[in-house]
Amino acid sequence: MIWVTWRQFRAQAVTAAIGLVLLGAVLLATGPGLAHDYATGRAQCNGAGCHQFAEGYLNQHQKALLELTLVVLVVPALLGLFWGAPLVARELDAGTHRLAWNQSVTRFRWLAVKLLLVGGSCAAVAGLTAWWVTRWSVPLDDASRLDPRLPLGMTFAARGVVPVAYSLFAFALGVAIGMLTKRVLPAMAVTLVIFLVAQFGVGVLVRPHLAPSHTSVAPVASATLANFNVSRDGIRMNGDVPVRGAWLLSRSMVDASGARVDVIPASLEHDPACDPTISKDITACLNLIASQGYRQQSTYHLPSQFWRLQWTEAGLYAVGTAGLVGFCFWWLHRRVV
Amino acid sequence: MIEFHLDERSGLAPYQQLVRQVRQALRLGMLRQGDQLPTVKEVVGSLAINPNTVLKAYRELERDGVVKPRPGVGTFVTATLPDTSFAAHGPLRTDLRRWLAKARRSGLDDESIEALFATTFRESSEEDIA
Amino acid sequence: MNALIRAEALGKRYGRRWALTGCDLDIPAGHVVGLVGPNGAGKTTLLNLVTGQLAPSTGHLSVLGGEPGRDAAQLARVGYVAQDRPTYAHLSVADHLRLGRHLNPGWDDELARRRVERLGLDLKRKAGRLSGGQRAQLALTLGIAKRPELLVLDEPVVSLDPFARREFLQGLMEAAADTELSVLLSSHLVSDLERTCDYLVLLDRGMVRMSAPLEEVIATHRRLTGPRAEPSRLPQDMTVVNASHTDRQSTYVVHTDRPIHDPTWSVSRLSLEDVVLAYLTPASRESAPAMEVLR
Repeated sequence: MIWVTWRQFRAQAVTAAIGLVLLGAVLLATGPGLAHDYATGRAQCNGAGCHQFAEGYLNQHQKALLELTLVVLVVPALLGLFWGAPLVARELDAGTHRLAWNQSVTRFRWLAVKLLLVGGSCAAVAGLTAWWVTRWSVPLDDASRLDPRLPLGMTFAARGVVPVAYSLFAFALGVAIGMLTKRVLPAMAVTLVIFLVAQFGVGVLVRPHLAPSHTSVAPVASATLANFNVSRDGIRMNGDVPVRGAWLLSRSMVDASGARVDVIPASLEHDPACDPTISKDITACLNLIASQGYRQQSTYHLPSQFWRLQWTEAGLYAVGTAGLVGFCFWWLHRRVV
Repeated sequence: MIEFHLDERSGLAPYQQLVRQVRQALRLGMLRQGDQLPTVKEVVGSLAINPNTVLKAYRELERDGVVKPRPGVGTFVTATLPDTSFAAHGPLRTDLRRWLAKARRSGLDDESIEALFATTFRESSEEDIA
Repeated sequence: MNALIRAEALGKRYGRRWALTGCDLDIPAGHVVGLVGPNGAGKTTLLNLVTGQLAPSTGHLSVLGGEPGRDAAQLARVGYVAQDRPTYAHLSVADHLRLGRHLNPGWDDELARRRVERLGLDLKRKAGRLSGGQRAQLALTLGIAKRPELLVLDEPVVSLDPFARREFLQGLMEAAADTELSVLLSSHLVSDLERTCDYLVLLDRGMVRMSAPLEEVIATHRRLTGPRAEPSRLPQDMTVVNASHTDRQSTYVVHTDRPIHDPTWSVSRLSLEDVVLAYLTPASRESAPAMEVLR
């Protein structure tokens, strides 16, 4: 059964191997230079100069970082589409399952070997891609702590163990959907849609709650100001995350009673201290706002919670994967020819 | 060695056709004592028929003492048929000719003669069974 | 002798529709069994049950004394050339043989290679580029070289040209002669089965209408033609399969074990096709439940 699985999987495995070699070549060609530039730059800078260096360094490599992060994000979806969806659907489509299931191998073993071999390859490909890209982007990730560029949710999904969990989930999803549609192309389409919905849903709705978040309330001060905007209806402003490299979940202004405020009332606009046409310096305006009891509040995950979040999310996907695999065997047991 | 063929419209069961073809070949001298018949697999492979059909035909020929199987070698012709020559049919044929002429004289056409022969033949064989 | 297939009150339901109901079968081993019936009679369902591809909804089925598809050992005893004779289009002939070798402990590689060579199949050619007849032969080779005790074939020669049809049946019969293989094959054409089978199962609308050795089927069915008469006027001990009447004449197809001597009736033999068709005419189908089913 192992030989048969390998023989049917060979072409796809070769394609993946070529992809990995190309990726490896790119990473090996650019990685050492990238690390060297960063190390030299950091050794020569100090204080605010370091911030400036990080900014320049990131500007220079932003495109490459974005592209490679996207590669890691796309790999699980590709594996689900091109390895998962056709695995059983192709057999059902061509009727060859009736050939395969009538050899002297039970169909449970048939599926188990296929899932283990191809699923294992999925984990290997995704793991290798993520590990390589993570290593390559160590200096860039470090610089990002000084000057965040990509949304942290995006980098999170492209680092650590979650890409492996995503790829296994996408693969099992593809196999299960393929059993239901019995056709390769619809299976690929449905798999893609469900996988994207799952990724988006987990990323936005579930991930913030996977570990306890921290909330800090800080006085209004220009040093910790992230943005400041005066308009006709009032002032909108937000503070910085108080911890470097933390993952910000939400931030807002709160008034003296602790209630959340989106816009600080417009009456302030008429105060000359906060009128941008009169005063260029916002310190007076900030002092005024602070004196009225407004403070800046942020909710965030600490950088030290990174691995806890990673493993919890990976575990969540693993449960989903196990459920899908269970479904596959149950479907097989129903013996629908 | 002879080659068998089947006629699907003959109305005879396939095994009977095989038996008849062996007998016919013996009568016409195409098979002689000591000749080998095609193996079951050969017949089956050329005619695409059920192996049991061939086995049954060979068993019937064996029972009639016409052929004898030699295990591991094949089936061989052991005897010639008693009425090999058409000479034995001579008097019968003369009688039949006379009867046919009589039937025509009494106004029967070919079809009626055939029908008459067939019904009489059937009745007499059923009397034999009964 | 061991039973090839034994079924008691076997039924299979898809959703609310019964594809097969109340099937009783007791077929001895060593036969080439023909399963005949019109399209949609439940032939494929029965074959899928026999090979263990489907599980019965009701009743009991045993094949060669075992539960179909229960484990690898039972799978090894039954070969199946499924409908449309599936093969892997992108795998070569040699790959198919290797697949057979890897998936079947009893694989006879010698036999497989000999067959492929004699058929003139190019080992390197992909199955998708073979002709329909060659692909069918490849599927048959996989079924035979597995060395099963029972080989099941679902409409194996449908959509093949007459030459490929003949060649396929020749190969199948040779294998049956060579390896003492029992065979169960289905067809909606009686002519495919007439020469090759020695046992017949007639399936109609999910029910077994007849199951008997072919010779017995031929020997026990007669057509009676005579002046118009009610069935009650027929000789004793016979079952009417089919009746048709004109003003003056009645024609009956009957099933009987005894010779018919009544001089009122002119008696003729029937071809297998005539017998099968007699069972499938609408009038005969209506009276089906009341009719005795042959064993």
